[in-house]
Amino acid sequence: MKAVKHIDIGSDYSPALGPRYRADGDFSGEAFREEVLEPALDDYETLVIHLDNIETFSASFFEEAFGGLARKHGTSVLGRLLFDTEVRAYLLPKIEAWIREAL
Amino acid sequence: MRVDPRVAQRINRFLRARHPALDMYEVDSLGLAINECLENVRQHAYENPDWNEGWFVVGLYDDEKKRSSVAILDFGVGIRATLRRQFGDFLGNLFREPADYLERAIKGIRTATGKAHRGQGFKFLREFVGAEDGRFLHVLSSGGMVTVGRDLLKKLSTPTFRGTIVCLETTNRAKS
Repeated sequence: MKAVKHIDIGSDYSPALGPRYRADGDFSGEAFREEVLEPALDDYETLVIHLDNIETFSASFFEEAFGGLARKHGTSVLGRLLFDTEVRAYLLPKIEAWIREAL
Repeated sequence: MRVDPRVAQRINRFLRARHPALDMYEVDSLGLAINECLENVRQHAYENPDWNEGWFVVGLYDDEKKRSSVAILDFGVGIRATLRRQFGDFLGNLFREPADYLERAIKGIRTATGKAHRGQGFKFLREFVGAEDGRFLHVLSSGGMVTVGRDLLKKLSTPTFRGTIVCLETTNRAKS
């Protein structure tokens, strides 16, 4: 297993993040979890998630992507995720709360 | 009728172009209001989420007041009917006025999805409008209107119309 993968959500996935589920719209949190996060976790020990190139998002995207990850794989998987931002420091405690409340 | 995240993206780009000094929290909140509301409309407003009864999303910038706003309008059953569909007469015994339903919806109640991990979008917006003066969240539906701001909760009765309007506004006079 390789060490670290950097995932820039806005550049690598979409700058405009969608709803919770695939059925509700494109670039959903469910699709991001299944198509990006889970495959990356199979190959890399740690994922660094970069938030600065996102333009718009919803809380439900993050709940489903990261809270859903914890519900499916257990909370220990969260220890393999790091979030990086220079312009959205305000968002980090909110993401943490969304994940915690999703469990 | 699926949620297209490019709607919020386009409106955010418009508002940032009109008022470049909007900070990231403001810009994100305006976009989040659109995305969360459209997702709610798809899940709750219409009897069938695939019915294409439509919605309107508006971005507005008032240069004189330095106020940026977004408004989301649908033609669905309304918040009161959505809550009653889930909770039946139980809520009717708790809330007498239409605005009481809206206040409860804003503060967080589990609607048709009924899952504990839902409903963070309005919480995000409540925290946003509560953090500074000049920020307001308005919800009109089912014959009532609620406005939430910093240390503000105002409830009114309004003429009944079909659908729901949600509006988020932020005034940023300190910046150009």
